[in-house]
Amino acid sequence: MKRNQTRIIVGTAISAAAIAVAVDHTRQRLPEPEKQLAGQEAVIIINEGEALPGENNDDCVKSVSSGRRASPCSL
Amino acid sequence: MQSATHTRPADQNTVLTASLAILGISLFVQQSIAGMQYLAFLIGVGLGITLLHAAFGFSSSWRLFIRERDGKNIRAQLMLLGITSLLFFPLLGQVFPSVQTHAALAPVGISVMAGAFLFGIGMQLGGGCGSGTLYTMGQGQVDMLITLIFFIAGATLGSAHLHWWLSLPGYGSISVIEYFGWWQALLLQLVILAVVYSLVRFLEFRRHGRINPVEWQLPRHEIAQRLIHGRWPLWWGVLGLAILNLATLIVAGHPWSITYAFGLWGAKFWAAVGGDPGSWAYWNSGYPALSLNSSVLEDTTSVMDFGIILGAMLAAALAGRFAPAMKLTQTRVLTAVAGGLLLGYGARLGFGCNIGALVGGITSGSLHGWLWLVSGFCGGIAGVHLRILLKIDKPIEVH
Repeated sequence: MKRNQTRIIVGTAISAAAIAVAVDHTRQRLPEPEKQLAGQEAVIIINEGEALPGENNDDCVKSVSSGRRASPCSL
Repeated sequence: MQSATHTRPADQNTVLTASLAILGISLFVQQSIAGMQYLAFLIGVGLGITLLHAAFGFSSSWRLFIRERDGKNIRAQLMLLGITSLLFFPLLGQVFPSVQTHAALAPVGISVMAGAFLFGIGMQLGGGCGSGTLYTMGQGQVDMLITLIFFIAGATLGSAHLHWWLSLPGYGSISVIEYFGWWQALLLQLVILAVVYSLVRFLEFRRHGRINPVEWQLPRHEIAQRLIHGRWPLWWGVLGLAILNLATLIVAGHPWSITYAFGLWGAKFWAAVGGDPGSWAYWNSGYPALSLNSSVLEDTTSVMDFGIILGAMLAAALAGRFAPAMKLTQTRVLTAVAGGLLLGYGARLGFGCNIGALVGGITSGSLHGWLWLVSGFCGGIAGVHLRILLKIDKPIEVH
């Protein structure tokens, strides 16, 4: 494979990846403040012995509130 | 010491393209993503430059040691583990409580053992590890682009099966920092690393009657030239990676990791073509669910991986080594496919690759990192013999 062919293939792949990232980024919606507030006021019923929301004993689904990660699944 | 000075002219068009891409992405991320994500991207760029200029790889160096008992690069990796541990343990031991950091802790069990073993085979077939695949792809090697695509596919498949693997026997996460205290654990870690270092030296000396030194010095007049255009002495690579890993820990809050992003990209792709990865146990809770439903630019690992690719591209262009001409044989394509799948699947089961699990795990005081090292190296031995069976390499000759 000649150098120019290599450049074209790699350039195409990186361009396609860049487009995919742009599409993914623009598909994400920002949360609406009203909905966030409504969510905070919701009543959550917890049965005896159940885990609290956000509290999960599975090592794989631990996450930290700051958005930084402590979960082994994010390694 | 390497005596070759830079002789190839820099590839100016690619230098300009890569520089503009780095500048554009860092500005965009700074404007549109909260926090210090742009710094994580720039750290990734630094890692890509360091990996490429120092040619710091794991798969070829493990193969060299297994085949020829050349331990130079393995000793450099052990130095990296030691120096990074020195930097990480006090932070993870909360010596500086204002710096919030999280160790790369993961369960010790069959999942890690099997995953690392498969990853070790994949490294030898695919021609790269987690970091190696990214920086050689950034260098413009087409075969590594194939490995990367199937690495992503394997990681996605692994995320679909992980919960079954985790149902097999295991011990949960074990932190030596929590168990012994940070400085006692650090002392123990350095002693173990010194023993392994001595063993590597002994095996090398027994085969060759001498030790291949890890180069660190350069003639003074070559320093500026080599800093920009490469090639760097291996010691520069060790120090660069250790410092940038520390920067990652401080900025991102966790050690440098690579392969989580591959599974994320695969799951996002699967969702884009109509699949429902959100229904898989792995992606329906915790951080994975959050990242699946957020922009990929909000995931630190993804942003750092983009930085590594672009950093390696910039470094390769500066060295005049971008997009090398190559012969892509049928065997190479098949090994890139098989190797990529094993790398991805193994990385997901092993809670990371040679960076996230081996370097990140060991230097965070997680026992799974050591288990990963032993299993991954055993997989590497199997992979080296598989290469001989497939006639990629000649049989090992012991003189």
